[in-house]
Amino acid sequence: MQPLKYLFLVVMLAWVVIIIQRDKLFESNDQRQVIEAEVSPQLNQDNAANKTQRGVNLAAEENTEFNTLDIIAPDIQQPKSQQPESERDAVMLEISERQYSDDAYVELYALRGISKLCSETDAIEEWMDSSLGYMTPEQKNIMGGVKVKCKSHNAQYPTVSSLSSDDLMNQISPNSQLGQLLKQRKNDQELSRAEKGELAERILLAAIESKNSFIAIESSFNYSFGYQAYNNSAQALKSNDQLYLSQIKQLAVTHMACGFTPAEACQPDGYLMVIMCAQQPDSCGMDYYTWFQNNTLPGMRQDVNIMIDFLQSQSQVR
Amino acid sequence: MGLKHLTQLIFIVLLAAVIWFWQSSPDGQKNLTSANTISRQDTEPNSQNAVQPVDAAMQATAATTEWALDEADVVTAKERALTYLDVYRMWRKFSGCQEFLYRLLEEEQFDPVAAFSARIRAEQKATNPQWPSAIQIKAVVEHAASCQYLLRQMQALNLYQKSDDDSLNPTYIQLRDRLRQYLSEMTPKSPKEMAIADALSLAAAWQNAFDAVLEASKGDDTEQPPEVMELEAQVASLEQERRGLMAIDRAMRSQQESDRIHEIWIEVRGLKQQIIQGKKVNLIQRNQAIAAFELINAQMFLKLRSQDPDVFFEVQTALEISQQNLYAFGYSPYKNIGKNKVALPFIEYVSPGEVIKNVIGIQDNQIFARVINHATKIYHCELGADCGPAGQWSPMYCHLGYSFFHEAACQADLVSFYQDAYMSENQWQDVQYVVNVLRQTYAAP
Repeated sequence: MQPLKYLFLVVMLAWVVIIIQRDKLFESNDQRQVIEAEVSPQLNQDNAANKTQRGVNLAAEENTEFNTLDIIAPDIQQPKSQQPESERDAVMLEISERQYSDDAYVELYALRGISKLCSETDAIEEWMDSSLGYMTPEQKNIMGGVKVKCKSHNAQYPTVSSLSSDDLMNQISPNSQLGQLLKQRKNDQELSRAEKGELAERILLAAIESKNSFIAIESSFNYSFGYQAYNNSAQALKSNDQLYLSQIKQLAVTHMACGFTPAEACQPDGYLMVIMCAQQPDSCGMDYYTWFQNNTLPGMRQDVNIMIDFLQSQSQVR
Repeated sequence: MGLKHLTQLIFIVLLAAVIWFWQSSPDGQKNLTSANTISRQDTEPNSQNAVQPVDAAMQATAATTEWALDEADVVTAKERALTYLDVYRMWRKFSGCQEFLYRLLEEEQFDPVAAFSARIRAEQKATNPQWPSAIQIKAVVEHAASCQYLLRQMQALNLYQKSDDDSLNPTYIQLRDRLRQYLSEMTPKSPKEMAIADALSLAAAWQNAFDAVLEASKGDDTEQPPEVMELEAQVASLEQERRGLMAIDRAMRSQQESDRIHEIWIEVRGLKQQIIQGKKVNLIQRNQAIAAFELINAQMFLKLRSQDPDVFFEVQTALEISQQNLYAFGYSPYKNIGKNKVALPFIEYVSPGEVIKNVIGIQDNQIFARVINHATKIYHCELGADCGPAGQWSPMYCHLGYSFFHEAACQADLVSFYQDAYMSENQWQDVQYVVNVLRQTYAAP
């Protein structure tokens, strides 16, 4: 009797484990069904219809009395390439079709940056609200569009968007100069202020050279490129007005970045123009080039052109 | 002793006598005294100040930039009757001497050149290892002298008496208020003086009317609904937690504690916003306050058309609420209109800078600031303001600023400095365009 008793306990235990895991498996399958119905066709996955059908089958089986092992089996039998075994695999799968860079590190950097911006739509709305004490209809309209874009982005990159730390990124080795510089900046605690400025300048020039719109735009908001960079700009424009030089450089970098692809940021509901919209409600609804024409004087535009030429030449010289 | 030896002895004695007489003369001792160390005591040229080692450049500068008053000048200042304009000039000078006077009142031995040298940023020092240059030192020393003279003028007016008991000595702000009070009690006589007095009086009335609008915009908090009381209790609790964390020495504070401080700041800001929005504003009272304000505002805007540079200065800074930040002379995007402080910020207010902004059509505050502030200073110079190297504006670029310093501004008038050593040609053209807009807006008949 003793061995039978033990066998019974084992079977009961296995039953409990299977019950718990069954719920998780169906949950993930349901989620995948929803996601796959919404994802962009660019996503490099199996035919969506096949997956949806499989999901429907699984869902149908969920409502019937089941032999747990039969229900689990179809999932176990799926090809491993469609069933990421780790978070890293899931991320690499999601970024397999690149938007910003052939370097996985840089691609992930840009996509995570966008995810972070998407996670802060509440803060952006609060910013808009605090400016006038209310959000204008145009701001509400823009934020509506932003949220739709963010939902699409998060659906396309669910694992990337849910990364809560840099651990996974730290495991990836960049294979481009821009990627190496970005990684170097992650560990810049021991750099002096001047060295940080020089590094920021090198990242900017690398972003221009590789035509990376996200990192170029991100860099354009950095006003601390170091005194050498400031001196170079001063000589290029023959100006010693520090604030003016910083402004022209920012305009020039953004101007160039909006000519790179993808240039979603420069559309009216892109993350760059959303920030403009929060700062200046009158600019809501404009794309970047329209905003640029409306907010600069002829002399500034000439200086922006000079700065663009200068930065492009600098990016080739590195 | 032979004749030869006697001659040598006489020669040595005569030489020693010459040296002794030279050392005991006022001019001789001055050259040995550091001209850059300022004591709170009246520094007579033959005072007992300790000799400070001075390098050759500073010594040469000291010889040509004598600033210490002798007794005769102090007596003259006491006896001469100061006009309204004289005291007004003292008042304007006071703000330019703010840093200097603050340090002088707080520190026993204040060296303005050393203080300036310490403010030169490392990056500029690396590119200009010879800084501070003789030109910069000269400007700093002359400025220090003028501020020191201002303090003595205030002594002559019995607005400042040095006490050995530090607790009895006035602070910088107290001195400023005393000078302002003294000016308000004087009687302007000339047309210019009366125009300045009128502008100051109207600016004060304008500020009162502006504050009245903000007061009417706060909202009623005499009857606190329970929800608001609950929010305020949350704020109080969070602030207490934050104070506890802030009390921890920064060096000992963990990252988690620092993050929590930041979290609390964000949370409190949100709660305060909710509290503000929960208050009810009496719109009738607010509109009445705005109507009263508009009457005075219209008078102030008319005075912007004054061709007197001092009237323009007073009215411009008042309307732009930039009296404490002359870098924003012309336009300040960060005016206090009650954002995050009152239930309904005074967004209806349009400052002179914003009027020009709308004329030009630029919407971005930062980009607009790149041209309007330079243009307004140039316009001010065109009205006849003192725009020389030691005037109203150039010292801000030479040595008074808080960013990069520009040696060229130490010897040039503002307009020349702007065109020849500061702005790009394209930037200059844009600024000239804005100056033209200012002329058409303010100076056209």
